[in-house]
Formats: sequence, C-alpha cells, structure tokens
Amino acid sequence: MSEIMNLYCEVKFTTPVILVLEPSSALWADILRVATEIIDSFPGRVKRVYFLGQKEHEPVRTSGDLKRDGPRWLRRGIDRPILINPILEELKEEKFTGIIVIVSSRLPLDIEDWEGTDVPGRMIFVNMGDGEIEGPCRVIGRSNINLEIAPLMNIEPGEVFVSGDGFVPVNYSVEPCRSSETVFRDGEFILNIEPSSERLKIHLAAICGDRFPELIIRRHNGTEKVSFREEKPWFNQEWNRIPDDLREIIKSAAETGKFRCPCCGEKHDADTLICPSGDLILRGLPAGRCILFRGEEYISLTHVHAYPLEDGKIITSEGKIYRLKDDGWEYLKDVEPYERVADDLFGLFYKI
Amino acid sequence: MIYSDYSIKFDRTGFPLIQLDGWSHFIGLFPVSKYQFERFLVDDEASGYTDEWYRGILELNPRRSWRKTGDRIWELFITGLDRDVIDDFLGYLGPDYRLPSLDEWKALLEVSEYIAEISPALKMICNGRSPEPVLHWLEAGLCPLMREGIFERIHGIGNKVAGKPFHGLLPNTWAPEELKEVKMDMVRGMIGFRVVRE
Repeated sequence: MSEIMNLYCEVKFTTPVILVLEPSSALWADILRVATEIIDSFPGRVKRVYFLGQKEHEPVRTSGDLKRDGPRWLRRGIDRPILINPILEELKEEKFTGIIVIVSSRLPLDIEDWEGTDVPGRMIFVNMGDGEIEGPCRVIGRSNINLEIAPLMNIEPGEVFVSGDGFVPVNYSVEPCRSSETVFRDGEFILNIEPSSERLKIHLAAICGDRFPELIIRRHNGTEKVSFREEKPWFNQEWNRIPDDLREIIKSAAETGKFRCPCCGEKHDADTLICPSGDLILRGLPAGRCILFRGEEYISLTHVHAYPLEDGKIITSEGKIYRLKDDGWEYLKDVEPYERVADDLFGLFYKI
Repeated sequence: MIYSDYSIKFDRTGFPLIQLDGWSHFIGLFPVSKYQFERFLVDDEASGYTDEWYRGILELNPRRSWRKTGDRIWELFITGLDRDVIDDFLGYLGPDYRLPSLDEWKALLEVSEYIAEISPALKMICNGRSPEPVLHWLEAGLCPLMREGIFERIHGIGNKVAGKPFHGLLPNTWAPEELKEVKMDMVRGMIGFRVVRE
C-alpha cells in the first residue's frame, strides 16, 4: 500500500501592494499624506516602498515607518529622473504579480516600455499633479483616495486547485470554501476549490508522487503556486467489523460468486444486492460508495476519495480503478461486485 | 572579407562590445541607447541629474519604447548630451571607457555588414547576459546601425561628427565615414555616441 501523506497549506488571497513614490521635494507633504492613507487603509499589504528613479527599496510595516524614515529615503534620490524600469525589472525578476501603486505628478518617462505586458493592468497611478494624465494604466485622483482605490486593490483568483504528479486526494478539509470537488482530467486528479474568504486553510491526506502537490492559484495576470508542507499525521482509516449476519454472505460471494440469501433462503449471484423479495441484503453497510472487505473487516470509502492498492493502483470511492503510469493516471476499469482488488482485499461499489 | 574570429564583452549595463581579430579595443555594437543611459541615471553616481534636466534632453529627441523597432529608431538612442555628461557616463562604465577614434569607428563601419550577418550568433552570446532590449534589437537587425542611425561623436574631435543623418532636414547623401562639420547647437538632438573599451 502506498503511503498516505498528511499535508497542510495556508494561503491569503489578498493581493500584495508595492508603493512607488515620486522623489519630489516640492510635493513631498502631499505624497506622504496619500501614501500614509494607502498604507493605513490596507494594513499588512504594503511591505515595500520604492522611489521613482532608484532601484533600491525600503521595507515598511506601518505608515509610521514612512513618516519616520521617509524624509531620509527621499533625500537619497531627491528630484531624480522619474524612471520606473529598474523597479519593474526587479519585480519581474522575483515574479511579483501584485498591485503597483504609483503616487506621482508625472507618468514615469519609461512606462511605455511596459506596454503590451501585464504590468499596466496591475498598476494604479495616483495623480498628484493638477493636470489630467492619460497613461497605459488606471489613473485616479488624489482626493477620496480610499473610495477610488479600494475596488482596484484586489485581483480575484479565477481558479484555485491542488494538483501534482501522482497526486490523489484521499481526505481533506478546506476552510472556508463554497465548494470543493475532486475531478479526473487528462491523467490527473485535481482538487478544485471555490474559496469563500480571503484566507484558506487546507489539511490534506494524499497519495503523492515524488513531490508533494501544490496549490495553484490562477489569476488573469499570472499563476501562483503554494507548496504544501508535511504535518503531524491526523488521517487514520479505521476498519470496521463486518456484522455477524453478513459475514458468511460476503465470504461466500467473494469466494464462489454466489451466496445463500438470508431473506428468501435461495442462492443468488454475487451481484444481487436486493433480494427479489424486496429486502436489502447488506443491511447495515453504508450504501452509495465503494466498500472494501478484508477478512472479517470492511472499510467504506464514504468519507475518503480513494484507497491505495498494490502495484501503483488505487480504487476510488466510485469504485473506479486506476494505475499510475509515467505520463499520469490511467483508468483501468470499474470494480465488479466482490472483485479481488489486491491479495486479501475485495471491492464492491455498493449502489442500490 | 571574411572575419574568422571575434570576442564580445559586456559593459556594466549588460550592453555588448565587440572586438575583431587584430583590434586592440572593444567597441559598442550599438550607439548608447536611452535605456542604457537610464541605467546610469538611476545609479547613485548620477545623483546630480534631475528629472527636469532629463526631460529637457528628451525634448531634443523624444523617448521611444525599446519594444518599438519599426520606425523612428533614432528615438531609441541618447542624443544631445554635452561632453561633460558623456564623460560622466563613460566614468560610470569604468576607467577604461572612452569615445571611439575615427579609425576605430571606421573599422567598425567596415565590418558592419558582417556584424549584421552574425546577429543571430550575437543574440545567443548575449542571451542571459544582456537586458531584453539588446536581444530584441539584435533580432530586429538594428546592429550596428552605422549607416542609418544617428550622428556619432568621435574622440578628440570637437565639432565634427561621423555617421549618417536620420532627419530629412539634412542632406542624406553623405558617406557615414566622412566627418561632417556641424553647428553643434543646431543639430544637438541628432548627435549621439558609442563607447570603446581599451
């Protein structure tokens, strides 16, 4: 049996923000006011401040950092040419996909270099000048900054899912979410998630390939991958004792393909799950999902998606058997009633 | 003429310079571009140059995105700089950088067709070491731009320039290697430069 890994990941969907300020001595008081307002309105999301015309950045945690150290940072590059290429190139290098807010009275001279890329679509220009500005990015005024900027500050994910080579979800808890479902597509098992809040926590018991699966967050402007980490084992598949009155039926059906019906006394084929007299035969076992039998025990795949078999095979809760090949999972067949799926293991998709 | 061998070096902005067999120097494959000059402007060594000053320079020859190589290619290159600014830029590149002599400039002109031919190989060499504009311009065949680029300054010669004019305002029949005496104030926005490394 393949090992089932216990994994965890946590993610926040809030989009990180970078502030880029004009190094203008004449406008500094106004620029500081607007920048402070933005930092205070989106706590924890602005972690860096750049000045146009400089490639270095300064870390900020609160607006107090900017108020305290801003004048010193400003002096270093005061009135320098308003260029943004070194900043955007650094952000591109580190695959930053968040929002870039430019607080300036003039568009950067080199902003045209980024036309045709996804960058202008993630840029908000706060116009600190008196004249109108038209540019490749969204331009907003400096008054009512909160009202204007708030709707632009998030890039909602279009798709959120877990995938990976050899990955099969066995059991998971995803909170909070509107829905989650496992789908099989092009040789891969994918756990699709529809989050319902900005923060998502996933506990995942899974069969994995050589590497852990990843949480993939797709937005219109790029894809973010979040790694899972191993956590203290919490998932445990408990076997149950087969009810006494069913033990002989199951044993006989598995070994001979027939069993004597406890309802009518006749012999039925193994695939008879309801006696012609109308009674349920496996009364007491959970229906609607695959059940595995081993000796005098059974396990129902009611609350798990899959169970690992031998030779790189798995069986899903729908009773479908797959095998892992070099290019992904291959569907083999649906399990037959009481089919031997491993050395001492018999499967049944108990659908009535 | 067949040239069997050449070497490429990169300046601190990642722009390439070429040396052919028999040369004692390396010379820029492109005239100095605005993108390249702006590397200098954002460096602490250039802290004296203001936004107002640079906007004044760009009024002489407007800036153009390095992605646009279809026409008006002269707008990609920096022109209109006074000699002391050029010296600051050369100093930023390193102590062994200077303007090319007329002979060095002519030697590059002589091999310009060969260089255009080897652009795909040059692009491979520059890949991973040069910024995106270099690769884009090599792909677009903008190298070395000596016959249809800008006027270029020559080391030791104050009021004469080499190269071929790009504006219809001036006679376009001059041979690029013939130095032209120009009124610097009138054609300032058309005069750029390329660099040589000893």
